[in-house]
Amino acid sequence: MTTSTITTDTIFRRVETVMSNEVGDETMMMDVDRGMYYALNPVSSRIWNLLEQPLSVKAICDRLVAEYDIELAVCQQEVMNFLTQLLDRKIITVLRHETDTTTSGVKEVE
Amino acid sequence: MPFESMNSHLLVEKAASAQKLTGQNTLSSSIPNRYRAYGLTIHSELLLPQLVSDKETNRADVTVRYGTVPRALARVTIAGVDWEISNEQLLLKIDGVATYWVNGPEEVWIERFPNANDDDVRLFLLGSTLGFLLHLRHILPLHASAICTDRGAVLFTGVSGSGKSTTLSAMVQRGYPMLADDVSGIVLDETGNPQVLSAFPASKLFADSVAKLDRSTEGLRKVKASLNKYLLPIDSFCAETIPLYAVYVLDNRQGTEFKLQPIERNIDKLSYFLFNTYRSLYVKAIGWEQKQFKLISRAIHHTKVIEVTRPDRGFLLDELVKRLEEDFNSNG
Repeated sequence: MTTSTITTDTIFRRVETVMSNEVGDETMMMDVDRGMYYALNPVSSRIWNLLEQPLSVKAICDRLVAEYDIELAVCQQEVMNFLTQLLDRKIITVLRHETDTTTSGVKEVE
Repeated sequence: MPFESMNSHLLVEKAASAQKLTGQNTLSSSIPNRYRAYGLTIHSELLLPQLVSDKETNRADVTVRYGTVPRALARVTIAGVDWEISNEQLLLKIDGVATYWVNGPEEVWIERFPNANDDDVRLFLLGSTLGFLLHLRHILPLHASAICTDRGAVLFTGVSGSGKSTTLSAMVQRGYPMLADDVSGIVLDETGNPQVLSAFPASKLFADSVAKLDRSTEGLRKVKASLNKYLLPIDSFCAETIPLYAVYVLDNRQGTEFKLQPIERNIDKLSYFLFNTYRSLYVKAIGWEQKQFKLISRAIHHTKVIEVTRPDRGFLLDELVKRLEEDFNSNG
């Protein structure tokens, strides 16, 4: 799986072995399997909370634009970058690629 | 609300494993020497004069007895040069002194070498062995000394030789009762706030550190027969559990001047707690990393963490103590 197949319709979910604890408005994360620790700032923490349910970038940004002062296009780009980082670190995984007939190169995983 | 750039900060790499703990029950005993340390009642066949005596409590949380110990443990999860861990058991072999076997959170067995010195046997019992017991009981042992102040418990952590015990002794001379030397036990209370447990009223100091305090080593008990390190009895001791207020990280990289830098980022605070956890390999070996992580996450939210850099011209104990005292007594 490469990140090049990721679109705003891709559904992401948390990896089960990542534990998280809230510290004030931040989130501390521990990847139990890999023994890594991470901290998320308040906005990132909000995204992590939303990911309690598997969601797409589109669905996440629908929520964020209502809560924060941000343009949809900018939001989608930022969230995409952020989720790609989480994906690279195996903190989240792709649940499925929402099939979109207009997009080529999208492959089903799992 | 501003939309901040979203970065996750990579911190430390630390292999993790999960292992279930199993409960074990042991009997209480009629052992004569009864003590209290880190909130635990300890009944010991070995005399432990540095501990606070507790004659009232009949139930022992931990018993320390002499006996024959296993040569090796089955299904070892992790091992060091002189120790191995399997599930809730630790086997620690100190050549010429004793072999220590922790069999669950309530039982310690000691098999002494012939002619072993009592002080030496005590040293490893109250060091690694007790450290393992604290981990087993999910009491976070931070490699730190601790004092009691009006604002709560103040801890001094840092690598070996950074001055934890020396700072402690100087603070006690300044009138702050001691809570712990070397290892401070941290737990969360029922509301999730971090508390520091009272350890025992003795401090371990090398001869040169004793001299810094204008004291003589004459009449002091050695911590180990072959070592120039002494047990300094502490006359001002706090036997209560105290809310954690601040942790000062004594840096042995020296700067040009005194600097007390408050740590703002939670990930950095977490890092200091993880790196200064006493015998941190035991965490992984007994599989309490997730609970340790949860405990630290709660603890850092309520605790000030301050990095201390000192000038590169001697230990400057008086100046250090003055700066620290000003800092933890200030509003902020």
